[in-house]
Amino acid sequence: MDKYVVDAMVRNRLDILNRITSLFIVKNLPVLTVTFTATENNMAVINLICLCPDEFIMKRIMNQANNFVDISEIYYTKAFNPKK
Amino acid sequence: MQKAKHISGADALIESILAEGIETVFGYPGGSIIPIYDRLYDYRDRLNHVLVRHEQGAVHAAEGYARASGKVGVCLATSGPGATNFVTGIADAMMDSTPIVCITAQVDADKLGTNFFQEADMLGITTPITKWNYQITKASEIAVVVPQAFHIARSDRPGPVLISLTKNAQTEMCNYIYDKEYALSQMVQVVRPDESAKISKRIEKAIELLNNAEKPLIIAGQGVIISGAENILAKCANKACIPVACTLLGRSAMNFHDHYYIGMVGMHGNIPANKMTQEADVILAVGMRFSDRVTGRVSKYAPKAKIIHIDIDKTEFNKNVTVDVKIHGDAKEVLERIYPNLVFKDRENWRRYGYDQYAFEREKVIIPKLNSVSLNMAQVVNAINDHYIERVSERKNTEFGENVVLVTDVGQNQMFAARYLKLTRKSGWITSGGLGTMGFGLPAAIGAKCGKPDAQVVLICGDGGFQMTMEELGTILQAGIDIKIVLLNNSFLGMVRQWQDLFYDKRFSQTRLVNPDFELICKAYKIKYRCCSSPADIENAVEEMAASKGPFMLDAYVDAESNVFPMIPGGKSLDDIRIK
Repeated sequence: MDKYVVDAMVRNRLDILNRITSLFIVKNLPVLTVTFTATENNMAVINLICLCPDEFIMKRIMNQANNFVDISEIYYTKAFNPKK
Repeated sequence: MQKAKHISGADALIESILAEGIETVFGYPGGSIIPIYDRLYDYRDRLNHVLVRHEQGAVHAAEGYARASGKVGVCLATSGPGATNFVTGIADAMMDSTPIVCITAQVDADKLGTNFFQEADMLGITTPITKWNYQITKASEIAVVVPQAFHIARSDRPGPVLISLTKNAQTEMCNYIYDKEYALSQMVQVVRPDESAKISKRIEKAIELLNNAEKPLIIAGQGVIISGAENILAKCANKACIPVACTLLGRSAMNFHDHYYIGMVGMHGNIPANKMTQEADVILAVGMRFSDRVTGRVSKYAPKAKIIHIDIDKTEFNKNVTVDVKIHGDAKEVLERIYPNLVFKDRENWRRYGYDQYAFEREKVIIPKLNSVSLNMAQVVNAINDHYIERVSERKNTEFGENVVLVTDVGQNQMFAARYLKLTRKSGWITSGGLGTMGFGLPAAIGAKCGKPDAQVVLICGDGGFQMTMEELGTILQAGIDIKIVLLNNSFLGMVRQWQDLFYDKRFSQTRLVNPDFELICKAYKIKYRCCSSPADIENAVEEMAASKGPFMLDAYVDAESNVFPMIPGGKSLDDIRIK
């Protein structure tokens, strides 16, 4: 599986980490790390690294996340893999 | 400028519901929600509360209300078990894009997480099955969160929203101003790239594909009904001579007698609709999501077609079926842009192909069913067409099907209703599609009647599903709700029995039902009752139902061994359609 880095700008609400990570959990994708940084305007930045077998699945998740009311912006990049 | 009112959180909630134009709410009181019910007592003249018998009934009723009235359905329940009883209905509303706002009480904010009496984490439980959820812990949040909740429920692709309201927030006083503009400005401002140029190009591409197609087909889903695109859809079909098939939830998107209507697609759909899907060179899918029940085996779905997909929800593109042209937008707006550029093309042979397929289906499936010597579901549904909808339309001097709302439960009854009912664009059609929730029918019919009081509401249900939410007969009794219940009683869980019959070697494991005496049950709830067991008697029984005032149950003893055909077995291609 390839590593992907996901960056999201979200509303800083109580269960936002749960909401973001559950996007990956329901598709059985392991989340390796999550960092969360609150901003001054009641927003937060989430950086997350996950494993995913297919970029198409990542695109689907981004589509789904874009529909979430509390997500302002979200995108992913494929992490560099020196072994490949 | 509005002056702030100094009121309690419970008052603020009710004022907000009223400000959203809601006249009826469905609910069931309990410990944590008593402050709201206490204030509701003073709003009896402005807000009608329907007391259900189980919280699941309240959500389904709110769904029925929303789909019949076009407004947002609202339901209330207490914390813990009351709130968890909402779960099935919320999941149903999520799958079927029904706008509802579910308000559940919660224990005091300072007791959260202590396993307090009747505490359940409703945000955690409902996160995957709601469009949005929020826990209000301070009364001052109500004026902002409630308008946001209604906006989210009804905007874009509609869906369920849950608000969990702690008990302290209900009793606290707050300065309340209903300012929707301010509330919506507090929502997350989403960064979206401007796609209008891209969409215009895609619409041009879609028009080009449709105009050049020899065998085009339109598949209309519930999105057409939600966006009110029924008329423009019919105009497109008639202008460019394109046959139209509907999905289960989009069944009333097209008049059954329209020249270009070819039936329902999917597992128990009509033969022409499924065959033409496989033969089409261009498919215009409007407001539908290519559910597995529609596509059968995806790899063999519409092998010859270029697919144009119009949907308000971007996540549906390429989810199940890979499409060639994705048009993100409201069905009505997009069709209105497509319509002027469509050109007439003589596709009579293509339409004739559909007619031939229909003639085949009629000869092999429909006529034998309707002429059967033992009473079956098709005959009952057909009698409803001819002796109920027709009579009601005559009596009210309206078009056929106008002012009639047809609600179904889930299972064989639903499939027979979807296949045999003559629905028009003006008929209401309410059924549980995505989640397939048995027990949906009765409470949804109650909600539909509250949402559209002038309409005649008919519920078609099976004996299995009916008994799942039968307690709502008490709601009918107490609220004096006039609905007609057609119980297709075969003493079996019919659809499961059909699968056991066809695919499990006739091992009818746990599908036989020993039913109670429904006549006595109706008597207890003061509902008129009539039973019927022969094809010769059904017309008379339906006539009696049409003539009766007040709630009525027609208990039709139908053939237990009757199966719904055509059928595409699960996981098979649309080409593998079975007629026996």
